[in-house]
Amino acid sequence: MKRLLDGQSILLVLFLGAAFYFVFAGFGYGRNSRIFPVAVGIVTAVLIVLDLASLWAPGLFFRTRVGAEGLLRAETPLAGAERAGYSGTRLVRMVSWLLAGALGVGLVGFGATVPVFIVGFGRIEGRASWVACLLMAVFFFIFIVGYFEFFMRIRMFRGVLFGDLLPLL
Amino acid sequence: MFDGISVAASALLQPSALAFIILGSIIGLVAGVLPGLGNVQAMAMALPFTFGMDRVTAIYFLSAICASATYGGSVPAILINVPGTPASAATTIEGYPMAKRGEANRALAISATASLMGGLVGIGVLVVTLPFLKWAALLFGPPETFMLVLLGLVTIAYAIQGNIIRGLAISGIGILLSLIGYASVTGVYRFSLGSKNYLWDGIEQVAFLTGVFGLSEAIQLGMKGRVAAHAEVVTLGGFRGTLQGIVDTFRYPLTFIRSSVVGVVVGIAPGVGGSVSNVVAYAMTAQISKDPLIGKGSVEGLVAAESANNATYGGDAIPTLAFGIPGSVAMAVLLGGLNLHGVPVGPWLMREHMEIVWVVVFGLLAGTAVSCVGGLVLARWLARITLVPTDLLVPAIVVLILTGAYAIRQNFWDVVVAVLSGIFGYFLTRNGFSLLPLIIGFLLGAVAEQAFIQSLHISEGSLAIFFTHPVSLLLFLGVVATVLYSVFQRLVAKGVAQ
Repeated sequence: MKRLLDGQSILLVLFLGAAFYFVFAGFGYGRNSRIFPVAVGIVTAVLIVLDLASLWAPGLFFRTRVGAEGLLRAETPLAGAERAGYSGTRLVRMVSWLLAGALGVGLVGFGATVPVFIVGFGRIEGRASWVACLLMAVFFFIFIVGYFEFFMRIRMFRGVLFGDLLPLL
Repeated sequence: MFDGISVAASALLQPSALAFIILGSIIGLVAGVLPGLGNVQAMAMALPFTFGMDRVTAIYFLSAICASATYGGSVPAILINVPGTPASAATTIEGYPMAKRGEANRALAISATASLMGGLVGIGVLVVTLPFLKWAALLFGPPETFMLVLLGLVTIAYAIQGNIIRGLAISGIGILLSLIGYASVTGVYRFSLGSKNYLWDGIEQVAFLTGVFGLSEAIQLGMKGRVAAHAEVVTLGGFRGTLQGIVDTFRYPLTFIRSSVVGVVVGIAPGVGGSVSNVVAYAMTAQISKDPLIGKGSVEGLVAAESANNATYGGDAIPTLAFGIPGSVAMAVLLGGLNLHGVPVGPWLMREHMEIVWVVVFGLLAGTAVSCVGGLVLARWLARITLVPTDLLVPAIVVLILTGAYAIRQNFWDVVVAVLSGIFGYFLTRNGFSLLPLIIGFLLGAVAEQAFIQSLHISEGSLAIFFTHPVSLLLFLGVVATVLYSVFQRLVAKGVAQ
C-alpha cells in the first residue's frame, strides 16, 4: 500500500491513464490521424507498466540506475536530504501562491496582480522589508507595463472584474 | 558553408542586435551567479520577451544568455564557494582555496580566460564541422528524420534518466502531449479534452516550457528558504593578480586542449551539458597532474574545469543545429525559441536557414566574450547578487513568467497552462523524473509524426521504408545498440552487486 501511494507510483499511474486516453480516443479518428498517436500511446503504456512493475516488485527487475545521471545535479531528482528538508505545508503554500497569482490575473488583471503578488509574497513568505518589497513591486510594474503595453503594444489582460472577458475554452 | 554568414554578420553589427547581446549576456551572468538559476531558467523567462523582436535579434539574445551563464556560475564558485550553476561544481574545488589565499582576482582571470578560450575551441569545432553537417543533413528524408528523432529520444532517455524505460515512457508522454490539437498532416482536431477552442493550436509551447523549467524552479527556490547564499565575499586582490591569471591560463596548453576536447565531446552527446564536462575534465586533470596544489587551489585544475564547461556549448550546438536534437536542456529551450520565431528545427534547418545557424554561432561567441570580459570587471558586484533573498527572487520569477506566457498569444488560459506546467514539472523533478525527455518528446513529437506519415505515404503503407534506406537503417541500428548497451550495463551492474 505504501508503494501505491508513493509519489512516483501516483505519477506513473496518472501517465498510464493519459496514455490510455490517447489510445482509446485515437481509435475515433481516421487511419492517418490515429496510427501515430495510438502506436506511441501503446508503447508508452507498456513502458509505464514495466516501470510500475519494477517499482512495485523490485525483485522482478534489477533497479540499478545507469548512465550519466549521477553527475547531473540539475537534471536529477532531489537528493534524499534535500527532499526531507521540504515540508508539505511549504509546498502547499508555494502552490497556493502560484494558483492565487493566476486567479488574481483572471480577476483583476496584471496591473493590479503584479505589485500585490510581489509585496504579498515578500512580506508574508519572506518577511522582507516594506521598502524592498515596494521597490521591487514598482520596478516590475513599470517594467512589465512599460515593456508590453508601450514598447510591444500588447494590451495586457485587465481581469473579468474590470470588464475583460475570459477567452473561450 | 558560408551562405548566410553575411546576413548573420551584418545583423550582428546592427545596434539593436549588439544591445540585446549585451543585455542577454548580463541576464545570463546574473542568472548564473544566482544559485538555483542558470541559463535554462533565464532563457525560459526571456523567451516570451523576444516575441516582438525580429527573429535574428531574438536568437542573438537567447544565444547570448545561453553562453554567458556558465561564467556567471563560476564567480560565486570562486568567491563564496557556492557554484552558481551545476556546470561550475568542480570550479569551487580549486577556485575557492585560491580566493582564500587572497588570489581571487587571479582565479577570476583564469576562469574568464579559460572560459573564453574553451568557448572559442567549442565554437571552432562547430564551425569546422558545419560543412560535414550540412552534407549529412542532405541525406535526411522523412524516414531518416523519424529514425533520428527516435535515436535522439532513446539516447537522451538513457543518458539523462538513467532508467531507460522510464526515460522513454516520459518521452512518450511528451510526444502525446504534442499531438493535442490540430494535426498538421491530416487537418483533424484531436485529443481536445472537451475544449472547443483553446486547444486548437495544441498546448502553447512557450507557456509549457516556461512553466516546466521556470515555475518549477521557483517552487523549489521558494521551498528552500530565505537567502540564496550566506557567505562573506572574499577580498579580490589587485589588478596584478588579474594579469597574472590571464598569463597563467596559457601555461597549461595541454590541459586546456584536453579539457576543451572533453567539453566538446560531452556536449555532442544529446542531453548532457556543462555539468558533466566540468567534473569529467577536472577529474581527468586531477589524476594526471603532478601539481601538489591539486584540490587546494591549483591553477591547472581551474583551467581544466573552466575550459571544459564553456567548450561544451559548441558541442551542444552540433546535434541541435544539424538534426534538431538538443545537446543540452538550454539547447532545448533555444529550439523552443526557434519554433516561436517560425524557424523549422531538424535537418532542414541547415538546408534552408543557414543564416540562423550562423546567428547561433555568432551569438554564442559574442555571449561568451561579453560575459567573460564583463564578468571579470563586475565580479565584485556580481558576487553580492547571491545575497538577494529568495523570497524576493521567487515572486520576480513568477511575475515574469506569467506575463510572458500571456504575452505570446494574449490568452489568459496560457497563464493557467504555465502555472499547471510549473506544478507538474516540480512534482516530476521531486519524484525522480527528468524533465528533458518530456520536453524533447514535446518539441519533436509533431516533427516525428509528420515524418512517420510522410514515410508511409512514400512507401504506400509499408514499414519496410525505415529499414531499406541505408541512413535510416543505420540510425535504427543505433537505437537498438543504445537499448542493448543499457540492458548490458544493467546486467553487469547486477553481476557486480551479487
